[in-house]
Amino acid sequence: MSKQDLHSRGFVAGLLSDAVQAIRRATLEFVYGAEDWLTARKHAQYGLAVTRILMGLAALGILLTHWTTRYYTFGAAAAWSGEMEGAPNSDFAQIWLFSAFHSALGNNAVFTALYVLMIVLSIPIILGWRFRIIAPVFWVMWVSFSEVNEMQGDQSGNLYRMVFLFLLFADPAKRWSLDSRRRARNGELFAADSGARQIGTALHNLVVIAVGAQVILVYLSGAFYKVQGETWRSGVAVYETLSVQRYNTWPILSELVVKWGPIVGIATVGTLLLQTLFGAMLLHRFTRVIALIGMLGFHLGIGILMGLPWFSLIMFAVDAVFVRDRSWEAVSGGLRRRWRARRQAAHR
Amino acid sequence: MDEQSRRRTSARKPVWVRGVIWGAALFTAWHVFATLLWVFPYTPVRDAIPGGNKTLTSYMIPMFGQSWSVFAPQPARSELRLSVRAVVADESGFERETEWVDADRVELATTTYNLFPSYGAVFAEKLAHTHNSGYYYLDATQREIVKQDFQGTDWLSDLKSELQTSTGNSFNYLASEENITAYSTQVAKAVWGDEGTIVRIQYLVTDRLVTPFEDRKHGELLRPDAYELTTGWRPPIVREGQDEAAFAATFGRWYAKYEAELAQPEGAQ
Repeated sequence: MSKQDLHSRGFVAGLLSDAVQAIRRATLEFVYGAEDWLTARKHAQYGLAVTRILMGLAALGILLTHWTTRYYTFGAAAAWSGEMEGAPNSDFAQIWLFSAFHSALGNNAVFTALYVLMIVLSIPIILGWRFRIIAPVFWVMWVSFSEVNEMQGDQSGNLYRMVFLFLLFADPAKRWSLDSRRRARNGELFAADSGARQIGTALHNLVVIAVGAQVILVYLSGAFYKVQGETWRSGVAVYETLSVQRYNTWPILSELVVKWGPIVGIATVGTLLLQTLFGAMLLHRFTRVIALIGMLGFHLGIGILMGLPWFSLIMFAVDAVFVRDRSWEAVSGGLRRRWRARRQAAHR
Repeated sequence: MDEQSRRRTSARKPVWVRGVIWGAALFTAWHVFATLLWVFPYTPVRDAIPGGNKTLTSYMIPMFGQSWSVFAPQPARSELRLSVRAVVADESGFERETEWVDADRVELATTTYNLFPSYGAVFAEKLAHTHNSGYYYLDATQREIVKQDFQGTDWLSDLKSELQTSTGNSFNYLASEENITAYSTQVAKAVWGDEGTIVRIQYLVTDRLVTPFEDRKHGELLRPDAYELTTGWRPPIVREGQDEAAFAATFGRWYAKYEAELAQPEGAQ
């Protein structure tokens, strides 16, 4: 072996050892950084509070607006689907606790009592009252209700079930809730440095990740399926959807939308772009604002034009985690100032 | 409490706390990964999990069951409609064949200019869709079979064995046949129930493409014709637990409103 060979060997070994060191540092940096992010403070405190409030409102809204059609839609009037014959169609209706609504199908009075109970339970969810105790009961009952009959509902039912399950492990009643008032008065359950508190913070933040990832994956996979279709690629899918009576609940508005071709094209291609880029656009504040306002408009359109208000509200609810606490604080601060100014003006 | 002062405190946490936190973090990572594989179209990446698709399915179903191929790959470019008619026997035994009632329109009319339509108002439309996708797999012989009238209490098993003499896949069709007949029976009872006994019913699903995009200014004028998925007369089916009065109360109310609106002269609304 020549001297030069030895020399270059030493050079390579040095490089390698530098690389190992760098990787080790980066790994430690990641581990500590991640742990800091998870335990230093609860993220998206207002975001998850908005998720809780809007999901509670969606439940209340669904229950109230279906009051007169509750048997027809969910109950024994829909037994033509075979739901009350043999084994239930839904997996959940076969699991203890989740089967409550299904087993009440044969008795309208019991069914209605459970229905009213759900209306009552949704109110403390919206207000954030005793969330830790009420939320698990509410969630189990809600899953039981929304899985009572396979013929009704849409994909937002699945999203509701999953996201609300995540919420049970987070602290969505930390802000804008009655619980937050009580906690400010009586103090927190666990001391600030306790292990329980640190774990609680970490779980909350992991829920923020799980909800956020879930939303991004919904949009991204939706776009993947859409681009496989010829009508989406040719930019007319929105026209075709709005031309079918089921998804055309406001014909006068839809007619305006589809009249001028470019609007149809922009709405169709815009949907694909927004769904595909949503996750990436969240990374920078400028594009995040565009993504979130875009999604707001997108779901407002779906909710009104296509007659899917609860689907849209539930999507709003989960999109809310991406709005930073600082922005929510600015919104609520601004509202409070205006409110006070108005009250003072009125007193004068 | 400022964030900086809390930084680099990881080392001071008890080991069990860090263990729980990292355990939860790894579980979250698995969950997100599993969701990613589940919601995207199938790829061989699923085989990277020990047990492959089976492991993934048993983790995701039922709690995380979801599908986001909504309006995709193709949005509903054709409109499926469900109409029902019946033969009604009065007290003297006289049988009358009724006119068609467009069940889907009766339901969907309640959604127009309604911010909060009922989930129940799309039942007929959903049934027409399921029926259509079952019908799609029937071969020509089977399509002739379903056109025939069926009678007797065992008519469903008769239909089943007749369909199985041909090679097309009739599994989905048969599942939808029972639902759509049971639903149509309730529609018939709600609309004509007080005239007498419903002897038999016939439902008709039609499939009609929307006007092509480039012709949209001409509206219905240039819309392709409807295609009828003809099916014969069926004995009524009432399934276990069916609350007929509750069905009739809602559908009857919607039907009365629908009829009243139809009766109004054009433009009077």
